[in-house]
Amino acid sequence: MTQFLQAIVSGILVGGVLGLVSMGLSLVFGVVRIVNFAHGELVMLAMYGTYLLYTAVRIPPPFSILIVAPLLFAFGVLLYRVLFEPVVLGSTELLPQLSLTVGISFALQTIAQWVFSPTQRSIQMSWTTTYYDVGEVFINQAQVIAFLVSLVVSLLLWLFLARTDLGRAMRAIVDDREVAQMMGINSRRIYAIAVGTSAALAAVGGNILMTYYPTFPHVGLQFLPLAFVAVVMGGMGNVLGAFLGGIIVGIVQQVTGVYVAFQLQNAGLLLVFIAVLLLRPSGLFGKEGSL
Amino acid sequence: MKWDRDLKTGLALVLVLASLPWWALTTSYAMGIGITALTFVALALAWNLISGIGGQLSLGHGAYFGLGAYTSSLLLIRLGVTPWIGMLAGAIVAAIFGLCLGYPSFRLKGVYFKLVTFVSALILEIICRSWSDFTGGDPGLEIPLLRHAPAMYQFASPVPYFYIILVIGSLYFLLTRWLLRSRFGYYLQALRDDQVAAEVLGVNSLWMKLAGFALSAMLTALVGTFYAQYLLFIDPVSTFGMFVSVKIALSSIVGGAGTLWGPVIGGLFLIPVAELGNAQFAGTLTGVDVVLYSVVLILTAIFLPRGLVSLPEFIRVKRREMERMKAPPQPAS
Repeated sequence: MTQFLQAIVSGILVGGVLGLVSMGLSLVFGVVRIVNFAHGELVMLAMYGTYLLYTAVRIPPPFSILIVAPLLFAFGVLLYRVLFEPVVLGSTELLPQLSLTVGISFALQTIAQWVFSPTQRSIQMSWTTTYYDVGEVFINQAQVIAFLVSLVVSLLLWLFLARTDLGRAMRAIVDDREVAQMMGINSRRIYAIAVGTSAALAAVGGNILMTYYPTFPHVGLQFLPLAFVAVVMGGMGNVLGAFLGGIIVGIVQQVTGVYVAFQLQNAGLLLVFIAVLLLRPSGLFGKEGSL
Repeated sequence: MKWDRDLKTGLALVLVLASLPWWALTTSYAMGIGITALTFVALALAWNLISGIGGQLSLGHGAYFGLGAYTSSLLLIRLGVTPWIGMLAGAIVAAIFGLCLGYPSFRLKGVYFKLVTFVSALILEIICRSWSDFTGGDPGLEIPLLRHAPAMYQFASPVPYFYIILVIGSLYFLLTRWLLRSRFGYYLQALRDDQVAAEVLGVNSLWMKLAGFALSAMLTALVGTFYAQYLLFIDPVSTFGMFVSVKIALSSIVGGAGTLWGPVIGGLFLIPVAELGNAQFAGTLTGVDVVLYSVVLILTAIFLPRGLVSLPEFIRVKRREMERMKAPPQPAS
C-alpha cells in the first residue's frame, strides 16, 4: 500500500511539470494548428538558461523564471514570425510543418551541443536531496516546489484564457478560426502570442526541472513523446486537459515502473495511450468532434 | 509497359548510378554514403505508397524497418536461416504488425493517426531494449561474419550491396509508377483527397488503407533486412528509433510526397548533402551534417511546401512574376 501511495504521489509531482510543458504544446496546436516537434528543445533551452543563470550569477530556480520565461517568450514570438508564419499562412498541410519543426529541433540540438558540449549538466540546490517523510511516503522537496510552481502557473494560464480579452480571442480561434477572424480578431498577432506563451510555459517547466533533472543537448527528446501523450489524452487543443493529461502520464509511468518493470514504464504508458485513443478518439477531456 | 519520360529518365538514372562504383564511389567512405542514400530512396518510396499517395501520414516506419532487420537477424543467429528467407519472414511480420495497428487506428483523424504510428515505433524500441534475452537488448546484435557468402546474403566488399539496394530501389520505383496509374492507386489517392466523396463512390476505405499500409510495411521490412546484412550489426535505436522513422518520412516529404520522383530526389539529395557537410568540417565541428540537414528541411518547408520536385514550377512562377514586373503595363481594353 505504501508502495502504491508512493508511486501515485511521485507520479502526480512529476506529472505536474510535464503537464505544464504539455499545455504549451497543446496551446500551439489549438491556436496555430502546428504540431511542434521542437517543443522539447524549448524546454532544453530553458534548462541551459537556468543552469547559466545559477552558475554564472547565482540566481537560483525558481526565481530565475522571471528572466528565462520572458526570454523564451521573445524567442517564441521570433520563431513564429520568422519560420512558422511563412509555412502556416501558406497552407494547412501537415507535411511542410513536420519538416519545419523537425528541422528546428535538430538545429537547436546541434547548436546546444556546440555551445555547451554533450556533457550532462546539473545544479545542486540544498533542496534537491531533501525529503519529507509523510507516513512512510518519501517526498522530494525539489519535486514539491516544482509541482507547486506548475500548479500556480497553470492557474495563471487558466485565468489568462478565461478572463482576458486576449485569452478569449485565443479560445475563439481554437473553436472556430474563420468566425473569429470575421469578428475582427487579428490572428497573426494572436498566433505570435500563442507561440510565445507556449515557449514561456516550456521555459517555466525547464526551469523547475533543472532543480532535480540534468540537462543535455538531447534532453528535449525525453519529454516530447510524453508531452504528446499528455496532450492527446487531454484532447488536442484542450489546454487545461493537457495539464491533467500530464498528471495521468506521471501516475501511469510510476505505477508501471513499480509494479511491472522500471525499463517498461514508458511502454506501459504508450499502451495506455493507444488504448485511450481507440476508446475515446478525442481524448479523455476532449469535446466530441472538437477537431 | 509504355516507354514514357518517367521510364526513360529512370533508366538513365539507374545506368548513371550503376556506373558510380567504377569512378565516383571509389573510397569505402563514399561507397557508404552511396549505399545509405539508396537505402533511404527505397525506404522513402515504400513510405510514399501509404503516406504520400494514400495520405495516411506515418511517423513510425522505423517499426517496420526494425521488424525486418530483427526478424531476419534473429532467424539467422538463433536458427541459422538464411536472410534471403528471413527477409520474407520479416516482411510478413511487418505486414501483420501493420494490419494490427492499422485496423483500429485508421478510424482516427489525421494528427492522431500520425501520433499513434509515432508511438508504436517507440513501444517496439522499448520492448526491444528491455527484452534483452531474446533481442540482445541495448548492446545490439552482431551478425556472424562469414565474409563472402552470397547464399547467406553476405559479401566481402560493399559493391554487391550497392547493386542490391539499387535493384530494390528500382523495383520500388516501378511499383510506385504502376500504382500511380492502377485502380488501387486511384482509390488511395481519392481517399487522400476526399475520403467522404471516395466512400460515397463505393471505395472501401478501410480495406484500401489496410492493403496499402501492409504493402508499405512489407517493402520497408525488406530494406530493414538489407541494412542489417550490410552493416552486420543492429541495435534498437538505429532500427526502431524515432530518428529512423522521422528520416524516412522526411526523405519523401522533402523530395515531394505523393509523387513518383519525390522520394527518389529526396533520398539522393538529403543524405549526401548532410554527409558532405560532415566531410568538409571533419574534426573542427561535429554535427555540421545535422545542421545542413535541418537547413534543407526548413528551407523546403518555407519555399517549396510540395517538395523539391516542385522546384521547376517554382522557378517558372518566379520568372513569370519577374517578367510581369518588367513588362510595361497593358493598356486597358
